[in-house]
Amino acid sequence: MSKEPMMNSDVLHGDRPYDPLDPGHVGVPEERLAVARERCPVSQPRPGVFVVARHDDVLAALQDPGSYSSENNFVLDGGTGTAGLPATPITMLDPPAHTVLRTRLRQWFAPAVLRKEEPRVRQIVTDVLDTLQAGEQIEVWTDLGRVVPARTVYAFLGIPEADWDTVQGWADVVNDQLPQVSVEMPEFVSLSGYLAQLVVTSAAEPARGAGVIDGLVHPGPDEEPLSPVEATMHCMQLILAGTDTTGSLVVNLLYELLSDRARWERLVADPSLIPQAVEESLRHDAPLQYVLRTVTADREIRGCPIGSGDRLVLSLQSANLDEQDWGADAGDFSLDRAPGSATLASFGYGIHTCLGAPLARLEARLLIEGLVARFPSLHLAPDYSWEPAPRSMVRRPARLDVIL
Amino acid sequence: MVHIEVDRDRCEGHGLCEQTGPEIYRLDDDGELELLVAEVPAELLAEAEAGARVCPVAALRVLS
Repeated sequence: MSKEPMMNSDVLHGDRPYDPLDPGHVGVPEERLAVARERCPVSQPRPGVFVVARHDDVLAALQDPGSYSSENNFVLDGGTGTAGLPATPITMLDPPAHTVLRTRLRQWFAPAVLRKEEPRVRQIVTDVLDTLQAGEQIEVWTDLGRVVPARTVYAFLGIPEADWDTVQGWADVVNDQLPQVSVEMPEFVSLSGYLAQLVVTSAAEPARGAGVIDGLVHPGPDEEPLSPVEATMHCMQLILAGTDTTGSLVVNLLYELLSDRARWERLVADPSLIPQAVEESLRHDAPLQYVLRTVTADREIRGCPIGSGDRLVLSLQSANLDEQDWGADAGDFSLDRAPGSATLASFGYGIHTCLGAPLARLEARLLIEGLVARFPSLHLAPDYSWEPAPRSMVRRPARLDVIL
Repeated sequence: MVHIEVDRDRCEGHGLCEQTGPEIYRLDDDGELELLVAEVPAELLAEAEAGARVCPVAALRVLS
């Protein structure tokens, strides 16, 4: 039932221990990243592509947008660029354009807003859990991991509840293709068409002062109007950024709690440990394994020469497992890890740090609180075995079968 | 003498410092960070440093 490392002997001797384009490396990365940190903290798995593995180097690069640009950065292979997109999402902007858009988008994710919205997210969790029975076998990714984050993001955007299942039907298909989304795939066309229609409808109505879409189409006194295409793109971005990742957090966390069931029992006995469990899952199993940057001028990182135009793969997972920062037990999942013993990289760091991070934490906490309260005998299905999802940037099991 | 430097241009009110170091950091109702101590006493130094480390936008520094 445990995750067995799948190491080849070549890894221990090579200078390219981790290739971000190899789904096998992304799915089970721990040993390869350990070798990278130890022997080759800046490695070059492919021409012009450098993997940065040490905690301090990853965080330093994330804090230096002038040297490491986000423009045109999302996918590593198959050609990148925003040429195919009708507007530039926030993840692919540098300051000053980034700063303006971020200031605008972050108002919906501020802690004060989230405190107000907590009952709404709790209701979403309750409605989902109400459909489940004790003793029933469920597949967590499909039955919880996809549904709760999707509905939460839709609620924040202001998508009418009657449309949630339809929208999720499209978004699930698009999410499964990430990061290689084709703007021509039918579900992308349906989803973006739906959002565009909602943007136009909302813009024609008076401001309601509620929901991201309403806010984007009714700019404040100091805000420039956005085109409908831009507003649609930002909504799409929030959906795609906030669902697959948060769902992965939920399944990764539940796997760790149930594969060593003493952990689950501790949370049942003391639910106040749940926020700490969420933080430890974020660290131990970063949903988004890495982010990309483009080097703007020739330089060195740890003595390794990097040229202008080269791509950096900043391994968030490796930063989270760096023993020099987190201690010798960094590889272990521990409910007793002291908060703030090092800086978490899972949501990024600095100007691009995830806007939805507080929301993701809230969803995970409320969902685990609900499960602990209703289904204390929750356990892994007897024949369950952990297999990585075949994804190129996101890490989670392909499925998680449990009995409630 | 240990004190905390807040980069107000960077702070976005994420509030992780408050969760980690509630005796040092507090967000007011507008999401503005308040420091509850002008100088960090020795017994709160670890809490102050942990709070600074969890800041996702590198807005906090503990200086001596």
